[in-house]
Amino acid sequence: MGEVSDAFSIVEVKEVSSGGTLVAGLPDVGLVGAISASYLVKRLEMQEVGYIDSDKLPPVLVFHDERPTMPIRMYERDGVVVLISEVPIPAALMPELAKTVVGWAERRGLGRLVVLGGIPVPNRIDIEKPGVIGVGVLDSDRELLKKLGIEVLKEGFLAGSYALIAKECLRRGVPCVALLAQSYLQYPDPGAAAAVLETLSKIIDIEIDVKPLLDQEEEVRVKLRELMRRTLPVVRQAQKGYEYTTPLMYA
Amino acid sequence: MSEDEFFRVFERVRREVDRMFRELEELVWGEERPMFDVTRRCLEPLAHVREEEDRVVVTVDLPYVRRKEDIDIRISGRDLVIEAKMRRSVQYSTLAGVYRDVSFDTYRKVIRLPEDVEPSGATARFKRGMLEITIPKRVRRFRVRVE
Repeated sequence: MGEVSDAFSIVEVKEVSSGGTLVAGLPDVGLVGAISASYLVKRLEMQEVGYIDSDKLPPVLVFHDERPTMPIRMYERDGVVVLISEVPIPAALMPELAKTVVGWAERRGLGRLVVLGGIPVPNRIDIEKPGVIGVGVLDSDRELLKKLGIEVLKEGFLAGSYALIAKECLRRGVPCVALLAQSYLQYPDPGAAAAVLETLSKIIDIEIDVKPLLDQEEEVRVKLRELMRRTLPVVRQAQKGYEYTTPLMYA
Repeated sequence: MSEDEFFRVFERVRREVDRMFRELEELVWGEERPMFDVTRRCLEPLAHVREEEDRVVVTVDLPYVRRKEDIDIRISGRDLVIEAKMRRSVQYSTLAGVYRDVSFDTYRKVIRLPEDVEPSGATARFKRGMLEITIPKRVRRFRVRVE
C-alpha cells in the first residue's frame, strides 16, 4: 500500500492503525526533532511500518544492525506513528514533503500531527532546563495545549519545516501541534530533546523516561556533529530569522 | 640570520601554509570535509563565530571535556586554536572506513577570526561542556563632534 506525489512516495510495509497521532521529528535547529523522535522509537521499541522515498533526496542508504533502511522512515506502537529522517530535507523539497505527509496522515485517519523541534535562544548556555512552547493550528489544538498546562505561542512567526507542515494542516483543517524547546541553533541539543519528549508524553499519554537520553547526552553530541553540520545549510535556507521577528501589530 | 631567528621564520611560514591548506580544504570539501584527524587522534568540535560591534564571541561544543584545566586556548594573529582533552576516549567501532578501530581522545579546532583582535582582553567560560570565548576587537576609536 502506498501514496505517490510528484516528488515523494510513501510506502507502507505494515498497516498503520487509524485514529492515532503522527509525531514528526526532522533534522532542524539543534537536531531537537530528530533526536527526540529517534529516541522515542528506540525507547518504546516501535516497529517500522513504512518509509518515504524520493529521487531528489541525497543518494544514501542507512544501515542499522546490519540491515539497510531508508533514511526517512515511519514507526508505530499503540497508535503513535513516528516519522524520522536521518538526512536533512533540502528546503526546496520541504513544501512537497509537507503536503505528502499531511495528505497521507489525513487519508489514514490519524487524528493529530505533533511536530517536535527547537526554538533557538542565544542564552541557551545559561538555561539548565529548557522551556517548551506549544503552537496549536486549530482551536481544538490550542485548547488541548492549555488543558495540559503547556504554554501556547501567542504572537510570532514559525519558520522552516514545521511551519510548512503546520501551514498544510491549517489549509486542510487537520489538527496539528508543534512542540518547540529552547535550544542551541547549531549544536545537537539532547537536553532540549528531553524537554520536548516530557511535554509530548502529556499529549500522547504515554510515559517516556528521558533519563537514559540525558545520561547519554555527551555521546549524542559527539556522534551527531556531522549530521548537525549537514543540517545547518538547510536551517539557514529555512529563514529561521523570522522567529526573532515581531509580526504586524494591528493584524 | 641566527639559528633562533631562522626557526621562528620557519615556524611562521609553516603556520601560514597550514592555514592556506585549511582554507583550501574548507573550499573544496565544504560539508564533506571529515571532522576528525586520525593521525593526531583528535576530533573537530562544532564551533560558531558570532561577530558583535566591539567583540568576537566564539562558542565550541566540547562534550566529554570535564575540567577547564583540560582546555588550551591560543590566539596567534587572527588564528584561534582550541585544544581540549576528553575525560574518556571515543570510538566508532560499528562504523566502517577510517573511523574504525581508532579511538579519539582530544579535540582540536583552528578558527580564522573575522577581524584583528586584542588577545590580552580575551575571556572564556566553560559550562556543561560548552566553551564560550569572548575576544575584544582591535579598534581605534574616534569621536566625531556634531556641529
